[in-house]
Amino acid sequence: MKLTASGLSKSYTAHPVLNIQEIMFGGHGIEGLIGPNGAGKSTLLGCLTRRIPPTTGSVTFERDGQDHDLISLSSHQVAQLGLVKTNQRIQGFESLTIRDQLRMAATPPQREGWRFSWKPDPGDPELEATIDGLLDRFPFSNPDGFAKSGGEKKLVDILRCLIVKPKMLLMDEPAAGLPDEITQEVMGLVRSMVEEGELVVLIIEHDLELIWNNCDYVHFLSEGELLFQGDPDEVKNNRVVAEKYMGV
Amino acid sequence: MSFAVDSLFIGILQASPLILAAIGFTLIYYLNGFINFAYGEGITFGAYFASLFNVAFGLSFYISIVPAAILSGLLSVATYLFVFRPAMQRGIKPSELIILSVGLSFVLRYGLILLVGAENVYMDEPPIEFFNLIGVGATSLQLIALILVAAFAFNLYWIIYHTGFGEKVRGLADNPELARVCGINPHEVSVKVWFVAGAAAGLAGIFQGVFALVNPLMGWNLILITVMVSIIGGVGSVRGALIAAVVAGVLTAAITLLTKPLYAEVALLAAFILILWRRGARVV
Amino acid sequence: MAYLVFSLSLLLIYVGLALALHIQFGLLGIPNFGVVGFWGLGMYAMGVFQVQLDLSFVDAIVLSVACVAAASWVIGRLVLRLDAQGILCATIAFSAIVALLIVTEKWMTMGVVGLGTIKYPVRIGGATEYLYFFFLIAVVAALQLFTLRLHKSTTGRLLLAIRDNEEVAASLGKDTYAVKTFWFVITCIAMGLLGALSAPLNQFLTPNMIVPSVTFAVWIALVLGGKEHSLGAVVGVFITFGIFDILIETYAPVTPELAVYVPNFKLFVYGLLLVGVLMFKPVGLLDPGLPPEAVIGKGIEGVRTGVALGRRLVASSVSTAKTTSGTTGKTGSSSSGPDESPAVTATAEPGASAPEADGISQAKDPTPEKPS
Repeated sequence: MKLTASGLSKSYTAHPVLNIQEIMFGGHGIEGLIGPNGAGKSTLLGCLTRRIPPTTGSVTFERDGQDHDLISLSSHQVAQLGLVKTNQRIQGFESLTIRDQLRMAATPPQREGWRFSWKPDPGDPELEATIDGLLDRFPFSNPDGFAKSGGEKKLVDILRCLIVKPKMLLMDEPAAGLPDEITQEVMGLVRSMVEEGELVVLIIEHDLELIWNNCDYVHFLSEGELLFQGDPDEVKNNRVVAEKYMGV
Repeated sequence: MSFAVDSLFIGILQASPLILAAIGFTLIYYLNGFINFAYGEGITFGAYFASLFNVAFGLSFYISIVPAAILSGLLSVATYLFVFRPAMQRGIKPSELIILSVGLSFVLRYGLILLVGAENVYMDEPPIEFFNLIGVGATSLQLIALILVAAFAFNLYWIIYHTGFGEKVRGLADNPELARVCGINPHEVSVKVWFVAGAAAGLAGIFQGVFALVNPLMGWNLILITVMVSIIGGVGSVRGALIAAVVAGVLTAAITLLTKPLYAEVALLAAFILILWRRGARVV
Repeated sequence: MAYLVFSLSLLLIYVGLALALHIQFGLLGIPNFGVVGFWGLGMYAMGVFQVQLDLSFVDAIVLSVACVAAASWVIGRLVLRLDAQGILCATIAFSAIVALLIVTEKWMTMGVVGLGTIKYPVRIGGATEYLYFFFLIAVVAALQLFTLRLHKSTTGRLLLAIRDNEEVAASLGKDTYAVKTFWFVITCIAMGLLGALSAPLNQFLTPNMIVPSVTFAVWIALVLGGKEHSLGAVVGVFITFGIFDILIETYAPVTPELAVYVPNFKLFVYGLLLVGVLMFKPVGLLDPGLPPEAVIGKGIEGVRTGVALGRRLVASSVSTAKTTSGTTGKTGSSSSGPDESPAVTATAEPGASAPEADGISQAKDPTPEKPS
């Protein structure tokens, strides 16, 4: 699983908000992407998942030894290849219960076609067990009701992405809006999935503790450019990162 | 050559009500972000207010324009204060505000029919002189209408782009929270904008009514093309609405000269759908 | 009696249209303001195939539906990537085009002269209209049954997800554009089929049947009944069309002098109802927060409370002006809990959206979206 972007730029006005020669994700289990506000992290993620059309550049996703050019694909095709992103802002499906949101996410498109439109959801015992496992693991007030608080919605967003079994998961500020112990539980779950080789992860986060504790490799972005990358200790001790970000 | 000149002239002359309607509609769409179908009833009511002063009270047509436009503006402000503002405060989504405006438009239109009946009303036209300009005939009424429209449009244009009030309107439309923080009173600005927009609708109705006739469906007949013109002109752009209205008028005149008037409408509607499609998701 | 059967048949057509619109707008979030265009295209195509080309009933139906399918596919491709207001304007423009072409293409539609006579599929003396009425009942009941089942299916869940947040649904691998196009075409076909089936009812087709008020009558009924509820269409049509076009026109002792006011008064009240519902209960009389099966048993009661609420809304919307400012608002989309009865009050409920105590309440503020 390798996600490579080369010559990627995005400009809304004359000044580019993103300008990256070459960046590669997916080589190191859990990777982090850090940088000050306005560094272009979210724009980069948007470009990678085809939600934001880049001005120039190419994005290639290598899966099972096959290269896919993501620029020519639409958002749902990118997801079907196994590249999925959680949302920074709280977003969800207000008219579906928590359990239905997970079911909807995990149900393959061919089981939602017109042939199924007049049949009650047959249910998939294996899927239901997975969902039960996930819902038991987290303290939802009512898993069969609607997600009420912002925290619940944020958590459902992450679980929705996990349950579609992505090959690579991009997490946009997973800690924002979640209590620490829930974040740790989420990261524990993600880590165990990574260790079983199910997926690789890229996290964008301002909470640097989370990055240092969980990531195996960190990319540093500032003013739209990739300034440094390395393992957490290297990044922590890098002079550029310290100057530009940690205000040292 | 004569065909081009003819279409241009007839188009511009006939487009004057549309230009007014489109400018006013654009203001509300820009400020509040939803398509207000009840705006069409402002057009109808403008014409009826004018015919009230003109036909019932026997005032001169030119004099009755003033109170009719003011009453239309007040009606527009009333719809804002009593319907749309409370609805927006309740967090009703734009797509539902549109349905709400359709409902309000029904109330106004059929309420008017219940009050005054559905018969056509003809205004007492002022004495008309015919002019001959570059081989095209025009009446004094059409020319005066055109001059008034131009003056109104220019004034609005100036207000929106060159005054402090216009700046407030633009600020409020682009970023309501920021505008509020900057001390702009959204309520006051909105009331003024709804008044001006309603007056524009009323004027459009008055001229449409004196060119042809006044009936309760005239606003509805004009609202669709007004919406089209405003959206194509670019929401929030008084300039765009002006240009689009003129282009629509000239195109209609040209196609009407070539074939039937109804084909002109079909062509405009089809062009509208295609333009929306080409623009993609970016309607605004 | 024959007139009553005609009115009831027309009521069924409206129920069918509202059901199709319920799937389009209530489930999928496509604001189709061109209902009369698809319905009218089906109806006129039926007329042209039967009268001008002398085709059999079945052939004409199949070809009419094919026409509507083709038209709706083209429109769907053109508009379904637009936002709600764009779709709304484009579909209303489409219906205007249909209405205009019916007037201009006289060689085919006979223009304002009118096109007729369209025959019933079979004629069995005086029983023809009754048989056709039962046939319509079967068609609309099938559509209602399908809608009820769609709500419980994986497909229905997907449609709701697309309505709620198309972008996120796509990011989970759902081909939202294809799904929207498919169901838009299917539901437009249903509208066209209902149009084709209305042709024998009307027998003689004229352009003044293809007017926007058909679209708005369907919309008003659906919004009033509850656009997101599988039974909202039926309830809404019974309250609007059922009361005005059947109860009042058939049974009310209206003098001939007053009778001329009825149609305009009807549209005036429709407008008031629409404004009242959207101001006080935007979700409509039937709240989708209630699982559909809980309402089926209470169908009659639902209608009764609906009527009562309708009456109250008319009364209260008159005094809207005084009461609205300063009322604590309930947001448009908030759905009430399953324990709430169908007779949901028209007053706003503060606190309905108050965060519940749970284990995952917000610890930190989520970072607001900022384009970097």
